[in-house]
Amino acid sequence: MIRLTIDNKEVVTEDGATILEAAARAGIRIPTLCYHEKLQPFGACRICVVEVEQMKGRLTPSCSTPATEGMVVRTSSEQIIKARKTVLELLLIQHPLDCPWCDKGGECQLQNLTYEYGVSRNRFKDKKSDHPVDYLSPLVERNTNRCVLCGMCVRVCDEVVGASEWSMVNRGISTKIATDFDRPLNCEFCGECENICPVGALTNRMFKFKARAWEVENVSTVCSFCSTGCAIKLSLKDGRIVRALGEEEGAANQGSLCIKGRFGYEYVMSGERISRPLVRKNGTLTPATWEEALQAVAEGLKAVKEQAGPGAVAGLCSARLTNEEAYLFQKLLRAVIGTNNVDNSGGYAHRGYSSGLSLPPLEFKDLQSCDRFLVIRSNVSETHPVVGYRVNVAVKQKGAQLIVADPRRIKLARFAQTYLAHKPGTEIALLNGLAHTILTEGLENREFVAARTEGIEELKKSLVQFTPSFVEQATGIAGKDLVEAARRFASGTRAAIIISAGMGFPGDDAALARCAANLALITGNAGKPGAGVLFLGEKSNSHGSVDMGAVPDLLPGPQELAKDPVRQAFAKAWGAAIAAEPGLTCEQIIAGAEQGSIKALYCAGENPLQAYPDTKKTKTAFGKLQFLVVQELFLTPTAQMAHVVLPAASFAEKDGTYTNAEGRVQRLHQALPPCGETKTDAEIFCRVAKALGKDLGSWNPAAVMAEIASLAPRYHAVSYATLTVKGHLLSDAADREAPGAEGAARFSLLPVDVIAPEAPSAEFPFTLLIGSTLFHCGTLSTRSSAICSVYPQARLEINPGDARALDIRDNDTVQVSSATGALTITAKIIARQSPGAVFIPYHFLSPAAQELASAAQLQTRVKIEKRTETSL
Amino acid sequence: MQEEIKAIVESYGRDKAFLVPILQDIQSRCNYLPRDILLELAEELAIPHSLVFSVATFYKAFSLTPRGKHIINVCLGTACHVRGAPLILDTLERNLKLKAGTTGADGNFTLETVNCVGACAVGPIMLVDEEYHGQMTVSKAEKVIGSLKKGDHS
Repeated sequence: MIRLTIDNKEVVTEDGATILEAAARAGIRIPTLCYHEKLQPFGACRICVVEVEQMKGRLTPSCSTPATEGMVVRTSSEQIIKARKTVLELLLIQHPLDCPWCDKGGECQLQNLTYEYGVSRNRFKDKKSDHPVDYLSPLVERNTNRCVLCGMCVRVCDEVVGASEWSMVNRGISTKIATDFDRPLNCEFCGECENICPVGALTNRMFKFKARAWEVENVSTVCSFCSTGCAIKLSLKDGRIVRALGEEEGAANQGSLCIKGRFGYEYVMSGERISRPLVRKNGTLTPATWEEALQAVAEGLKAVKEQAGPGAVAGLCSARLTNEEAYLFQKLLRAVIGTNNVDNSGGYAHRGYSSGLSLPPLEFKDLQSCDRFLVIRSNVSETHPVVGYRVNVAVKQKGAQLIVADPRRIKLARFAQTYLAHKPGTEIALLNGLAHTILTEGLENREFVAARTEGIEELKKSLVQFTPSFVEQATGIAGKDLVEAARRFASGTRAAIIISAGMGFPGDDAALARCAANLALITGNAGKPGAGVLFLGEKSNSHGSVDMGAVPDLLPGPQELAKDPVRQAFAKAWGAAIAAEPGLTCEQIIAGAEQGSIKALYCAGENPLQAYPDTKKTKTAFGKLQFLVVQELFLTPTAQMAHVVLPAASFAEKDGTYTNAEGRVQRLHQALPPCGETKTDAEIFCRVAKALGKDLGSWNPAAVMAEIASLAPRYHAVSYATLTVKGHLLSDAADREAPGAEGAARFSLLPVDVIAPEAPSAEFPFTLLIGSTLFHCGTLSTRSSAICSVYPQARLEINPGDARALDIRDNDTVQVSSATGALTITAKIIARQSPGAVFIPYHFLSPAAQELASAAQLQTRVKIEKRTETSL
Repeated sequence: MQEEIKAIVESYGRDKAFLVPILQDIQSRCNYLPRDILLELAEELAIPHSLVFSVATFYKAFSLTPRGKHIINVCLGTACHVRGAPLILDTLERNLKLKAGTTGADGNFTLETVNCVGACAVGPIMLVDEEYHGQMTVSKAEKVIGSLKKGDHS
């Protein structure tokens, strides 16, 4: 600790802190233009100069000068104010002073400081800067005439986002920020540069001329896309969202956002939203009143229940329902209908964190203190970009070592010390191989294994076969690379393993999670901050919907349905018997519909016809349903098949909570009134129950959360009264604060056998990787025009070598077929794609990648043919 | 060209710290820094495109546009300036029909200015390619250009 005096105030600060940071901690404000806490000090603007007793005779930039013991600092004096005024005058020589129509007006740091220091006259004169304005870049407008060369855009892009799109070009007076060769932006479009810009040099094109900064009302809520759970502020003017900002206080994101969070909110205000209930009459969906629609739903469900029993009814919900809604949905099915047949897209994805992982989740902020990362089956910089930023910061700013294992040369591979391009679908063999090497070389943390785990002997036995040569054969990773990666991983003190789950990731998530947990446990990476396994669900409430029991074998908590006392507790609370038999999973529900055992299906926000594998099979199955009710924002392919469509409110139109991938419960606040006649999912569930003659209780989210808190131990402490913008980290998180504590839980090491994907056949020589792109999340983002302006449709990503062999050129139309289906798509040749595998994002309606996939197969094999003009 | 770039990068041990000498080598091979090659270089060194561009635009010695067969540099440093360097520059601009900092359409000459070449004692100085011509006068400058032009036509 360092003691110093700032403005006659005694200040204590930690070693390495700058004067500026020390002052901030003591509540003393020093003005800045080029400083941001997320970035390395830069010392460009000279606004933050201070006087230091020990450095007499000159002014010292406080942002880049470390505080030292006994320092005596003055942050304001006649000389300091004069220097700051001069800096402002110099900046204002070239600055255009077009403040009346600059979108940063009102929140411009240059404007504020000019006002604060009363710079009303300028002693210097020169021509105003006259660079052409870049109107060609999507989403971000660049007017370098307004630039103050603070370099924050360049640094945030490089140090945090890792895209390095901007740089300072030229020299001296002609320095400006630009891309290479001054081309329009072609980057991740996260807008972090525009957001951090202290002036109007980079501005948000969606916000252009929409509102003055002081006119908007900001509503703080949570982003609806991925499970990072970024806290956002929606700026409202005249009842419309005019922009989204990252909430600096947000614990998950600390103000950062990706393209989806910043520019993806438009779907909420889309003209394609369903605004009235629809009921199928004479074969067509016709607008109806809520009474009619609810009556139709009740009759449809009741008829099936009476004819075929409650087991013939099933429910699928979206992993974007709030906790309260997911809770009410499963309660509706379990307590009112009487079936456990409830699941969400997690049926294909969430098993990893619901049943595979025995470790508590990692906190995102702790990722920055990790010194080793293993990123496997996770293009985290695209699926969860803001989590990816944290990995960038740890690797690029703090020197953490990174191991990336992915068939595609993903963005993180560029910063990785070790990159392992394994064959698709062989992650388990790879993880077991790493564990085997660590155990045979004696690199494990013996103390931890002995004190905190059980089952090491069984694990060792099960791993015997995973020698480097066996793993090489299975995964295609050279034995020496595997050994190097294992040593690198084991040599760290805090290692995080990052895995993504979602519709795009086939395979056995539970097995994968177990392998990862084994690896983390044998190296002692559990029970301390920044160490463990981060299993990232795809959607905003992927984790919450499991916690809320919207899965066939778990009750809210999550607590095991199979346990009698658990079931009895819920039966008592709900006043209804709960079947002991676990319900059907997504796959089983669809199979059941096909075979006729499932006759009625309730899809709440779920769109299986676009998102689930094997579209054709799903469509046939749904065609056989006696009754299908779809609760949705849009008339999706699934909704088009429905007997009744119930219009639901979007995330911006409701209150509630989401639980993110680190187990943080965060509050949504309603920003807009519901669109048209839409109602929140919670209200709809309660009304459906009422129409069925049962009472689900209040749909007020605070009341529902109180009910959840009384039944789910992990949620005991969650209450709307105490939830702040930082959210509430769920209680088992306390576990990681107690490393090796006496009596702390012991972790089980669970052996996992390898599951080898079948080899490509001569007929279908390519492996199809279906997944998410950076620009989209689920199918919802395709309704946002800003996002579609950057990434409008699915393209087939193919390796240059494979393309050459097939005589495919960029933008050629190709036909892709699998045993399940076929589609035509535009090809994009990209070096990062591994040979022998192709990639199609699944978000789009057409071409729909999921038409090619099959739920039964671990890997989809395809053939690719070039379409010639004549065959079109 | 791809192979040559690889060889240059290889000769510096693929170390991105040597970006400046690598760029110098490329410029001496190509006479300027072509866009395609810079982008390829960024990939080879695994550094951002924007960084290569930033470095290439920072140093006056690098050119992103093709340069003439002969590069004429007129020193405008203080010592040369007081001894009439602006007059030499005027003469050359008229004679070559070029503005300082540009290259002629025929690709023979590039006219540039420099702020000191460290030989003030013999100013005003003009550099033709790597060769120093000291104590320039208008007529001497014209003579030097004349012989260069003749050399080009022969």
